[in-house]
Amino acid sequence: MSFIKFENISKSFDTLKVLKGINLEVKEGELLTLLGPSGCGKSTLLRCLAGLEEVGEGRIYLDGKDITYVDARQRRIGMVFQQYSLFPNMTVRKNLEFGLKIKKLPKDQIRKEVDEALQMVGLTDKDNAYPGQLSGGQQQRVALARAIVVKPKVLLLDEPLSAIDAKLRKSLQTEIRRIQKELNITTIFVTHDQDEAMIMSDRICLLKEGKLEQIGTPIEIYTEPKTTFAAGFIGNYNVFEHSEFEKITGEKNVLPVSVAIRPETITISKEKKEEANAYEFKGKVVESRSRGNVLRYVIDVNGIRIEADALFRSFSIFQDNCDVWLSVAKHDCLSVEREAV
Amino acid sequence: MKGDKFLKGIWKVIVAVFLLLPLIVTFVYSFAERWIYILPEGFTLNYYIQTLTNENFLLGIVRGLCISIIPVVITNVCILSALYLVIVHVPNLEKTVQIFCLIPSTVNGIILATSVLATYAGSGTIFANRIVMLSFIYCVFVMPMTYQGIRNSLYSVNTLGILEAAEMLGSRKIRSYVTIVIPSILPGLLNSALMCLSALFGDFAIIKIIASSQYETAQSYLYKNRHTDTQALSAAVVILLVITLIMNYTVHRSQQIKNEKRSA
Amino acid sequence: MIKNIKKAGGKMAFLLPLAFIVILFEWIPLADMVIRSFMDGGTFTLDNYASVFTKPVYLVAMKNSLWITLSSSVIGLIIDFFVGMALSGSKGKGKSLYLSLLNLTSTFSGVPLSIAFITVLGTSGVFVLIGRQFGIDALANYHLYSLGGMFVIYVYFQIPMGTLLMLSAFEKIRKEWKESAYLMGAGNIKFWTHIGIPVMMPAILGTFNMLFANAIASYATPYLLVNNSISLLSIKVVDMFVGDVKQRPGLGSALAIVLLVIVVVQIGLTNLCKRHFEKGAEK
Repeated sequence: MSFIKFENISKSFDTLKVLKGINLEVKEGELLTLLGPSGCGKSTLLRCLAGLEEVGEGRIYLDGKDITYVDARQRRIGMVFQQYSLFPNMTVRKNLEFGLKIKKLPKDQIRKEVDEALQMVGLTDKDNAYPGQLSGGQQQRVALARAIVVKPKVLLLDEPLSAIDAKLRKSLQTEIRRIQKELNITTIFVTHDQDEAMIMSDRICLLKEGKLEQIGTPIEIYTEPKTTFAAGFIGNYNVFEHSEFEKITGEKNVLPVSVAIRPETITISKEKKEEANAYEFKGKVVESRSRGNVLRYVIDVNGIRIEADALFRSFSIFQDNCDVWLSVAKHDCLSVEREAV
Repeated sequence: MKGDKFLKGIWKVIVAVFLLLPLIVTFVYSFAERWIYILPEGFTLNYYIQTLTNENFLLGIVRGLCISIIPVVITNVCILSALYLVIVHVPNLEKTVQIFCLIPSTVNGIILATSVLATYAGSGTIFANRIVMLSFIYCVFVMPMTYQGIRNSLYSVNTLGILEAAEMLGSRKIRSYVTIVIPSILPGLLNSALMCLSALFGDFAIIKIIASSQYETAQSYLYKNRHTDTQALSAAVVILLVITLIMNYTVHRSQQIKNEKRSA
Repeated sequence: MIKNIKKAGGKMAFLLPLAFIVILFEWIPLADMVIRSFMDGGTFTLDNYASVFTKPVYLVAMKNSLWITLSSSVIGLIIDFFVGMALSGSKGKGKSLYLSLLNLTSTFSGVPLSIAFITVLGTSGVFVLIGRQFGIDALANYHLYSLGGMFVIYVYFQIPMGTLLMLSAFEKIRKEWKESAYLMGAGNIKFWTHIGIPVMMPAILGTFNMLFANAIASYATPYLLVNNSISLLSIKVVDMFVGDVKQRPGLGSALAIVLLVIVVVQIGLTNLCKRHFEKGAEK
């Protein structure tokens, strides 16, 4: 049974419709990521669950109960914001104690639970520091500790890492994931960063313009995008209209749908390979970029540009303007819809 | 939450009424023909004509503007020059200049004016001249506001960076300070200058202490004629308010233009 | 620092105009005033201060000044706080109109303001007439020309600037703090007492400083309304230098220094409080 259930949620700000009938279920203990470009409504959906925004239409169920109109203070939800959410006038310890004091827990229990939470995020030595004295990453860890110390039913993370620099972000991603698994806490994570979503999630829910575009495990979403938008947003897919695809492959009779091809499924070589069940076509290298261990080529095929990846090895290095043969297995050419159904 | 909003609304209305009351009454009074009872007996523009043709009042306005504009200009030039030195050559003098400029916010106008008066009144120097005295006291009086305005503007445009970039292109620092930096902070400069101007224009205490009878500004005119027709007096008050309103509006406008330019 | 100054050399001239004004028209007169307050006809004396602290007329002036300043500042601050709070929650045209009103009235002070209040609440002011007509004694017998009567004007000029300052302090309260506290089960009152007000405290104290300084130095209003019938520190100081009665610069200087010390002590005290609240804002 689902732990959280959004039923036909709609929401408008003035005349702007930000959520258009969202149906979504979250299982107990999983980490679900709401992924999408800015303005897709992912944060709004999260804030509706927290009770910080009123739902326009539809219902929200948490743990079997209808909480659509329950006061946010009674929902038992922990939340970490993008930044600046720590109370600047309180030390780290006081920040963590705040929620427990409101619950009127006994003093020694408060102490014990704060200590545990601080240990979990690795900031035991900072308990007397003020937020202003901490780095951005440390502040977010305190915010996480403050959210979990009250033992919420659900943990909501609203782009918690987007203000953190890239290197630190990676380590915080694994840390959040570790803590989430340790506590087995149902978590909804909002981000616009597809790599982050891939690394952290049990399931990803892709949103576009207030509508659910696709939902599935990271691997499903990555390997089987259902729409042109999903293909473009997640895997850097090459997406072609079917007329373009015909022009590239020379193949007629393809279905009138768009086709998506992941750059790493295309092989580049000097000669034609004559493989079965593959499309092969000739093109000219326009430019190449190194991305760490991968080279990304932009190749012109009959006036259409294709991106293809090759591992960084001596036989896979091609000069600009040289002619190459590309081949891609037929089953790697995915048909995708223009709109979500 | 609803009740909360209602309370806030009521509170805002009460305070707004309190703030508006003297304004509105003065405004209505200035047009009233005769007003002995609760409602005026008719409306007229006579008091405006009377006030606006009164030579003393008009001269008072002009005098008030002159004695306000000159110190504001002097103070701006002095602080721009001092901050140039601080930013470009002696950064650790910054605290000193700040203390220089901010002390007058603690030493209020009355203390400032009486101390200067007592020191220089009989000195026989040029400082004994009341107009000179008044101008310099005003300079000191607007120093804190001017300093803060200029400092914020100078740091918000990264002055040192601009000057160094211009120097690489072959322009001397002082030249680029005058031709690039100052024009680019002009809106902010104008803003604080106009605020100072309207503060000085509304001053009565300092002018009363230093030059009570010799230099009559619009404020002193109001004081001197406090026992004449309330209607004429109200008209004068409204005219002075309109003048400050124009100054304020100019501040607002210049800021708006600046914002539009920035966002465009 | 010395090294830098030496390096700057002749360029130090850029500082001269400012230094000229500050030294000649701020420091020398102030120093002169301190010295004069200890002088009587060329000899050192403490008599001036002795008079200030023993003669009833000056003690009353101090008491009156402190009373009207403190009470109008506290009441002004409370009004400013709540208007600022109400304004920070609203937006759009209503708010910008309100801001214009505050900006307009912030320049409405001194003589014009006092004259406007005479029109409203003076001996034959509109509201006094209304009071008489309808038998509202509080209005009919309102006596503007007294300490308590003047109080309303003091409160009036404490509102616009203070509210603008409070508003900008309220706008620094982050939505995230409110929402975090809310999700942890804290209501409005808990939020403001534990987080909102402590965070704003430096700004509140700063605003109080400004209100206090404004009120204690206020001269035009009492001069116009009560002049010498009620003694106030600011009026007494000026009287000693330019009054119609005999001028007594020594005594005047002592009074001025007392006035200055009151302001400095008040700022010192609030700064002590401020430091207590600012520790969270380090870095």
